[in-house]
Amino acid sequence: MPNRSSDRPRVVLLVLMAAALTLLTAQFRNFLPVDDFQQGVRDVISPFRKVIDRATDPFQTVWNGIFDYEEVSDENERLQMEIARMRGEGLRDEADRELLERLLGEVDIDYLELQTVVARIIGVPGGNYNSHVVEIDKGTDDGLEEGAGVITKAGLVGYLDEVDRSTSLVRLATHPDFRVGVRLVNSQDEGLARGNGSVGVLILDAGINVDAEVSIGEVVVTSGGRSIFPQDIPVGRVINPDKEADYARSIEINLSASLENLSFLNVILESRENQSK
Amino acid sequence: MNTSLRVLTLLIAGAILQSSIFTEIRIDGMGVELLLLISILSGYHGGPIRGAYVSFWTGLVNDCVVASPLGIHALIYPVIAVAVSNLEERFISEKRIIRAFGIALAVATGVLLTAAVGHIFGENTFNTNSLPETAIIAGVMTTCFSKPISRIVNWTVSSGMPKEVRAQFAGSPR
Repeated sequence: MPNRSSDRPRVVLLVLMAAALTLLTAQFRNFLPVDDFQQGVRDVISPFRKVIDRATDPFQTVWNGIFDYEEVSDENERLQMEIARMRGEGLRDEADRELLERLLGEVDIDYLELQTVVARIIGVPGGNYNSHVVEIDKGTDDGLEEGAGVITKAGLVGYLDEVDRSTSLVRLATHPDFRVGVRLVNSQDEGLARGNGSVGVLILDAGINVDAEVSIGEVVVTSGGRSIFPQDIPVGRVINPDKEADYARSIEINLSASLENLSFLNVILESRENQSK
Repeated sequence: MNTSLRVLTLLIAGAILQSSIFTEIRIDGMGVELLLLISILSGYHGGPIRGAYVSFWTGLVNDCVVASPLGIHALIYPVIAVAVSNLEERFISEKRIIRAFGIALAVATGVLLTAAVGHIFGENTFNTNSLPETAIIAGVMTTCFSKPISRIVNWTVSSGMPKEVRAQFAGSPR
């Protein structure tokens, strides 16, 4: 005769696992209430979270001071070098302005005119898995929508993956699931670039012919079209054109925006096509 | 306060702490798995059935907090809770260091299993080169918080359960 008391946990476990699998299936089929539930939970805890964050700020500062001292020290050194470089560049600015305007005119880049919302990075999501995702302090209350492009003055950063009422998650361009249509400025070839989990690098491995002329340092911009990104947002420069490829090319692009040292971001509110309407 | 209300309070508090201070407390980018710890301890203190229910909801809350597909953590956490509950009797009389090692091992297993399930469901960021390192560091860091959390979880999930019965045999010392 079967032992019913020892069987019951197994039955409960199987029912719960079936429920979890059902929810997963619903999520992957874009069943809206599932997304709403997740968003609702985050919205409920968000105000409490801000209070706890503020209350524990001194402790967090001490912790970061102890365990991230080297990182902070390196960043300080990098920023000092950056200041020195910018001082030098400031002197050359006047002379370069004319050249810059001519170059921007040649490649038809006017992405700085896009209507954007400035957002501050408030951290990364909890847990140990969400790399290549950052959280910002703006949400639907500020007019943001899921899928909106995120940029800095330096260029492409990513897009809004999840948007709650007061916060949003940005999927960075280096995320393995990130895809963006790009155009090589010199050759005008277009292809699809993707993140590969590496810091600061995109891989362009679809849409570019094996015999296409691609040189090191060539500027890469977004191609627009049906993409969520307006065209001509700077993406980066080619660092490895993979000229030796026999079958499929895998061109490496160094992102122009430094994703490791972000503080503020610009979220695109609407595309240029919409603005002109 | 009945058990459901206690569990709800625990889950909300856990979610707030996991998404605030425990997001900042990191060593080399790896942090505390507070909600996984709550699941493990709910299996330890609440038994397999209550542990499975509590850890299922804990997993769902964690899916919301870390913005992973809803159900990934909820699929793994009940399994860990039931496994811990089944092993609990063997560890209850062991030394504190052995129990701490057991918790660290359970956390590391939970991290690895979640990563495996996430990878199966196409979450590419779940399975990284540093996963074994992540599991070990997360296990050790999480265990450091297990003592105070254990008392809270025990108070939360043990309400309404029969008190511990101590058998006393004739002639044995009291």
